[in-house]
Amino acid sequence: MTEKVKVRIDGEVIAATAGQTILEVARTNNKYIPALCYMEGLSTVGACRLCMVEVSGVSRLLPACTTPVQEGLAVATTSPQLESYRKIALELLFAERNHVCAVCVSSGHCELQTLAQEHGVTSVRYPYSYPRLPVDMTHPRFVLDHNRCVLCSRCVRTCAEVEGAHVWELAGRGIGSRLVSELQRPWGEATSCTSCGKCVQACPTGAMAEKGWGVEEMTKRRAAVSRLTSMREGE
Amino acid sequence: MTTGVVTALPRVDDQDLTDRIIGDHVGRPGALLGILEELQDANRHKYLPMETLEYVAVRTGIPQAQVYSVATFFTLFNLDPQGVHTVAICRGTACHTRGSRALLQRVKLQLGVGEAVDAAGKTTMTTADRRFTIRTVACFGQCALAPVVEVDHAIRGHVKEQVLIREVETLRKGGAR
Amino acid sequence: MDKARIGTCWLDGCAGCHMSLLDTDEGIIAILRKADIVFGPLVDAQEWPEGVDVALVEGAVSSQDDLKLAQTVRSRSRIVVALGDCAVTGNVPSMRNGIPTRKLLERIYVEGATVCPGVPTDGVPGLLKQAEPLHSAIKVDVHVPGCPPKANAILMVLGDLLEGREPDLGSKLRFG
Repeated sequence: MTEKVKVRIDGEVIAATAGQTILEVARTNNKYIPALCYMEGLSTVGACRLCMVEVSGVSRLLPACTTPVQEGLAVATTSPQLESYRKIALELLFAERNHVCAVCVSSGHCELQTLAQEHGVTSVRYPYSYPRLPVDMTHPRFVLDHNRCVLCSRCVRTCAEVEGAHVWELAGRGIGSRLVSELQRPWGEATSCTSCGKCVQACPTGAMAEKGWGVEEMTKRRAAVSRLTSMREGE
Repeated sequence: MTTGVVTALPRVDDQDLTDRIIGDHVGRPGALLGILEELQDANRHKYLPMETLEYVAVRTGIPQAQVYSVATFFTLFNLDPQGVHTVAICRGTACHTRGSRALLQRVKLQLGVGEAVDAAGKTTMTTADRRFTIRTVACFGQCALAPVVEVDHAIRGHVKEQVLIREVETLRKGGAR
Repeated sequence: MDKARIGTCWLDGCAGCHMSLLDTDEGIIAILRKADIVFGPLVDAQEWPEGVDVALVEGAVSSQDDLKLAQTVRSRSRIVVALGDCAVTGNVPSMRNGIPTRKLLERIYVEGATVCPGVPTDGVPGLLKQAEPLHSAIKVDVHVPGCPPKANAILMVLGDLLEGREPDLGSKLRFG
């Protein structure tokens, strides 16, 4: 049974289905809410905090990707406060790792870079942490550069939910969190990896890439991963 | 599919005990935490060797990465062998303002260990003879007693440098015979 | 009306941002109608002059000399523009920041040397511990990222500043 509800997004009344998230409803109605850890077809985790929205009657901000809609819900997708928080979130992502766009395979096709540009991030107000991070080149076809990882876990979820191999997880906690394959084995030695490359396609930045591309050359086929899950829904 | 490829079981020290512990928990929600906790407790050096983590993954069908993720997220779990005695120094705000950094430095000097951060980004230092492990704790929740130090699972409040040194020295001599 | 005074300099950068400035082609003529370039690689002046209106600074702050020049620029200029990714984010020069300076110098000048191994000390400025964005050393008024920033972005920013407007890069904002 699908219950129909009416919600307001930026003042416009929109018909939605109960159980849908604010972000899903917004995207299907061409209302833009920025997000980095959200990817169509994957479960939601609310990790990046870019999709925070104002919901009337709720004093705190809520992540649009994990908040289900209810009858009468009124959402503001943008405000000076939200914009300032989104900028802070983006700047902190840049400060946390070594994102050097100039020498990145994904420059020009990177979701983090695009979001920063769209939100008018002209510089990072926080001190960079310049962590020393490894680059895993052990896989014959793919490369994992921790310097560019934003810990969105899209690769983790793609591998677990779409491919079913669950090679990846986030290990550790806080600033020490790292993406790991299996028991922190080099990617090339992970026996559960099927080398399907879906994690690479799902990655929003240049953290995961195919080998052999130069700066600005790595484009991702994210929609292909999302399409796989939408085709399965009918089964 | 939970495990990608059928792997040969890794060797663990006490397979019967390990199997029993896994058997006691498996199938229940949140089983992994209980399994890891008991396995660490059963280990002579109070840690979870990689072989154990892999064994748990194969036996329970939980992906290896997930087992590793849980084992590294909780500071309770150790991935390296621990000393016979443990000195845990609180580095929370209250304890910091009451001089816990000096306590940490002093004990490190006394036991002759350097700074070490393990794979999970946790500060733990174990002496070469595995008699002592020094670790830091984010907060014991006993801020009124700051600075707080836990020595072999006994919480000490209002710890003074000299008192801590004497206590550690007693433990050191105690085991030396 | 007095002409405005523009100064340009580069710290730890590759000169690419200055190349982009030259790429403004005839656009620079319109700028020069309103302003003089009083310091920079294209100008003879040996010292950053007093009373500069707009300073374009390329490159990260990486050495003692960079730091000194940045401070001089700040004290003698009204508006300081961090030009390009190195000045804005640290960019490529900052990729050394995880490595201790000592190790870095030895790797390059001792292990990597085929002739005369040894870390040079005479006549070269000391390296700072880390290559940092300009705003970590001095107050920066305008950030123009890009590697390099496109010529039309530089023109727009200079045009706005000379007209007394606060520049808004808008869709010209670009990292990398």
